[in-house]
Amino acid sequence: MTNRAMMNGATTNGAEIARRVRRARMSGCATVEFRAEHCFGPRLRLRLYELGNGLRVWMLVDRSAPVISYQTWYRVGSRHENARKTGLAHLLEHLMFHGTKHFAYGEFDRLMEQAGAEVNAATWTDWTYYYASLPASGLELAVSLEADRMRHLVLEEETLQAEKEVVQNERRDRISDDVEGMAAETLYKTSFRRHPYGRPTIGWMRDIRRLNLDDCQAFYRTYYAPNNAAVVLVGDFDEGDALRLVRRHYGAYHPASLPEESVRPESPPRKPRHTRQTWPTPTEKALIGYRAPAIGTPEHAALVVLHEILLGGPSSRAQQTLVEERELLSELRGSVTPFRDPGMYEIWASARPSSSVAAAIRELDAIFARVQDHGVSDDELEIAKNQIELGFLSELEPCGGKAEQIGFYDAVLGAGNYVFQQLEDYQRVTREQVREVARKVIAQTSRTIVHVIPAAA
Amino acid sequence: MTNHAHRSSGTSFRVAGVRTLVEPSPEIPLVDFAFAICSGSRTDPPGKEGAMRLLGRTLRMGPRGMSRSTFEQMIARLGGRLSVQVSRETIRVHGSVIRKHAEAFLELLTKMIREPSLRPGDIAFAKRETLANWVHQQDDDRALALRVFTRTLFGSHAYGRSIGGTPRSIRAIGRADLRALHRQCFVASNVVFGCAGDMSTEELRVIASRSFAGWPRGTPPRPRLVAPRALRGRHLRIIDKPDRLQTQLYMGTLGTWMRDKHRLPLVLSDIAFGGMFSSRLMQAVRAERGWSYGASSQLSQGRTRDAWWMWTHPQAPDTAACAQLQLELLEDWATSGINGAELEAARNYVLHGHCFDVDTAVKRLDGRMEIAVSQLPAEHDKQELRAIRKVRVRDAREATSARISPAHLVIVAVAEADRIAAQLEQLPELDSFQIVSWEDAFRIN
Repeated sequence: MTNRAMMNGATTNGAEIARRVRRARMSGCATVEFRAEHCFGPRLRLRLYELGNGLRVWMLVDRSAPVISYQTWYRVGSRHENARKTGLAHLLEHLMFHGTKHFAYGEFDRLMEQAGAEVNAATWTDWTYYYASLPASGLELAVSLEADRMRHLVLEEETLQAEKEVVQNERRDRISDDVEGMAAETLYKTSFRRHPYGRPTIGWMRDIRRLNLDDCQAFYRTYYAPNNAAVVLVGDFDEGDALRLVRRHYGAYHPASLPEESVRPESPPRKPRHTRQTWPTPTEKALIGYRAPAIGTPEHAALVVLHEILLGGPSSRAQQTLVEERELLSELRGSVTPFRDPGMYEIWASARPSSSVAAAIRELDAIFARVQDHGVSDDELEIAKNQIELGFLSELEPCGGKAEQIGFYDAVLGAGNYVFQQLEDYQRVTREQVREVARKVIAQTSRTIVHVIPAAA
Repeated sequence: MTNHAHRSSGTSFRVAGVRTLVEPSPEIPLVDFAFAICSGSRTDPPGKEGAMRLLGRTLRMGPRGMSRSTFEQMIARLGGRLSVQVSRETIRVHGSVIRKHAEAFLELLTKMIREPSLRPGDIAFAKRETLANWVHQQDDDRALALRVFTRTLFGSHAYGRSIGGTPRSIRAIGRADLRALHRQCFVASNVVFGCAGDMSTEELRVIASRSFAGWPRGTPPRPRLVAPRALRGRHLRIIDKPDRLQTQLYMGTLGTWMRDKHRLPLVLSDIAFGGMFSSRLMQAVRAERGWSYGASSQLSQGRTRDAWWMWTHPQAPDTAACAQLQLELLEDWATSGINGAELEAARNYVLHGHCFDVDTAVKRLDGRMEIAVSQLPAEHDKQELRAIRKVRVRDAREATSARISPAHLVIVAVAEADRIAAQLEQLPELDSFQIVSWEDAFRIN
């Protein structure tokens, strides 16, 4: 055994840790290499290791609490689905909590909950991830269970049928009976006609019903492999011990042959697209979408800053005008999708009981036009950057927040360390870039609007 | 693992009569401030329900001598974020700010709390906003169901009232009401202040001493709280909303309260029943039958006897069968309690998971503030954990049968009534049954 005091990360560098872990005798295990170290401030040090089978392992020791966050990010999401098998990535995420060759159905949840863990998972367009937040003493349990289900999942007809029912009910809850869910699904379907971003991650109901055991098994075998995944470990652990555990439990897995992706980014619509939906809702609503740049680009950073200036908080231009002064809207918010390919800048507007969203959209257009014509002020730029910094720091507070950011950027950009660079990218954005991105992205000629009308009106 | 630096280095002291709690944590250059005013919606004057919520909203519009938009600009410029939340027992002001502007932010926050502008224009705006939000709540089926459940279970008791008030009570509130509530409730002895994050105790003490100097003293109102009377029998309310594919289904009764001797055994029993993924309710409804994506139970713990409820959202054709199954699970649980394995699972879940109640400085501060606000001993958490270790199967069984009564039940379903009413009406031993339009749901009694 290696001396724990020497392996606590304070005095030992990553290359040395990897060398010692390699030296440990583990038959059939892949090698382990130290790849890089990235620091944020004086206290946070992120290290990347890689097993010989391609599994990337991100480690950040944070001893501020006796907890760990253990996350596994797979570079597979709904964009990898066949157009007639939508919902497959998400259904498989549910099935991953079923039994494996070594653990019966229900054991995963039971063992994790007994250990005091909170476990869950999420799927979106570009990725699927599984997380466990648990006491530091539960590290080996988390590594062994997560590694086990990466390659030894057992899929059975009976439990598949029950899980498909669960997913259909999830869809009814999130989409069919929810005005915002329905509007979002309609927006993406209307705006993207070829790219898989136009298809709902949860899947169309008819596809969910048709998915079978073969579909799930094929998808699992193809994408759930060490060379398509990253393990992220943040919290109170010994780096050498943890790396040894990871090597022991994942090291024998072989890399998979991953299919080449044929998805190409889709250009913005050439004409405005507008759909109307009636709905049992007391007031009018609109979801507006503009084609947004891909994450990791300077344009994406500029658009996030622009969004902060226009809609970001109570002091932003549009909030002040539409919600505070004119009282046209009860709710106004937006977001820029964090997608690998160009995605969407979406804006949700919910009208006051006696107002129409059409009037609000006209006002919003005027606000956008002013930015396109005259740009933004230094003061607005500084405020936006401060707010972005606050949001960034808040997300980093818990171990799970740090792990999530690292895993996300690994899955989408192939660089978990971007978590510490993103703030610099936002700080570098200039007034000219904000104006430029406003001109490029905010175009009435290429936007999509979903207009929700109260059913009784 | 060893070498934990996680133990709370928190301190507490008084500044100008204000109880002050500090949780330093220098990892991230971020500071959180929290004020808890120990008076909530229970302090609303009769006929003016929603007054404290309105005061909280108007408070958020800034201090005297500063317009609403100027105040917002200042918060944003400092890299701060601010929220005000009103519960039955407290008004809580929470602010986060980047480290470099923490001092200026705290001064602004304190000024807002001590010297709110309460301008007539702002109050009128807040009232219009509240009324609009009232309408918007109709979009949220779950909120609609829970509101009707609470109203039906508690009736006219303080716990049955909406924190936000009603359109009628909101209209009745005037500026003088808000000023009076502010004068009475925002006194030093009624305020708990906390700071978590990248600020040392010494530094905070200096800033707080300057900002809190001369904080008015006084005795806040303490409205009397009586125990709610249990509604007798089983009562079904269907909120009829068109085009619903599924049903938001709430089913519950009275449960426990903070100082109830049965509380901790019941907490564990409830977790085993519906508080985990491996619990009875989740396994029976979701894992075995796929009837609902979510299935859970919740035990509220107020100062007097509070609510217990379970929630599922089956599709319309499964609603009656799901409701029937839930009733059977409930009756079995209330009669027989939980077994030893279930108790151990729940106990482990709580004891092992406790570290997540204290894994960040903000959470540690929240916990300490809750203890201070509830006037519990500082060692409350440790005492609770010790007591949880001692709970026996028999205690859990006794607590469950003593507090959870399947005979006196409120069942609320938000759904398209035509698709579920006939079947739900067949549920056993219903004493009353009512269908209400979703647009009238908030008026149900």
